[in-house]
Amino acid sequence: MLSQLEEAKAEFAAAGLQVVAVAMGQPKHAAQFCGSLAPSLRCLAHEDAAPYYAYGLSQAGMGELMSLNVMKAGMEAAKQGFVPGQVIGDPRMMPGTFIVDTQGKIVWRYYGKDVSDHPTNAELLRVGASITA
Amino acid sequence: MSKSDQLAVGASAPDFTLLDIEGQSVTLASLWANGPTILTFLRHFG
Repeated sequence: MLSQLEEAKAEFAAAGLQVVAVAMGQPKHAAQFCGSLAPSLRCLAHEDAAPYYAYGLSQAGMGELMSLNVMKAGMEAAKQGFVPGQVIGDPRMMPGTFIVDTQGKIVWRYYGKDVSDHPTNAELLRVGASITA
Repeated sequence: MSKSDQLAVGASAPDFTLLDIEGQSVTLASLWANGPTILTFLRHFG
């Protein structure tokens, strides 16, 4: 997800959208991970899962961890040369993406169908364009 | 994940204080106040 977002950094900036990535861990983990995959994005760390739960995200069930889509996504990432390092956080947490306006209202949200499911950049840009127009 | 726990469009986004890569505290509200924000929750670092 991070490298995918990094690829569209110019388009997001042009659309007036800032991108913030959150994960569990410490600042040094955010610096290591984001520094290599997405140096232009703002990465923030939190020590526990409280923000996830507040946004309606929780741990995946077996079907969300072991689906065909998850295996395909893993193989695709490997083909692109992504080699998982030491995992900091909780790989069982479900991913989610939200677009928040300047008033702090959620204007769009995407809850992954499994742990590998993320919105596309095109989808994010389409929604973003509609709120910044 | 229960769908009933999911946040609806139009709901207030929960604010949290997190740490940036320098270890400085950052509130989410201070970020979205500057402009529309894509907020993505990763499963993990690494």
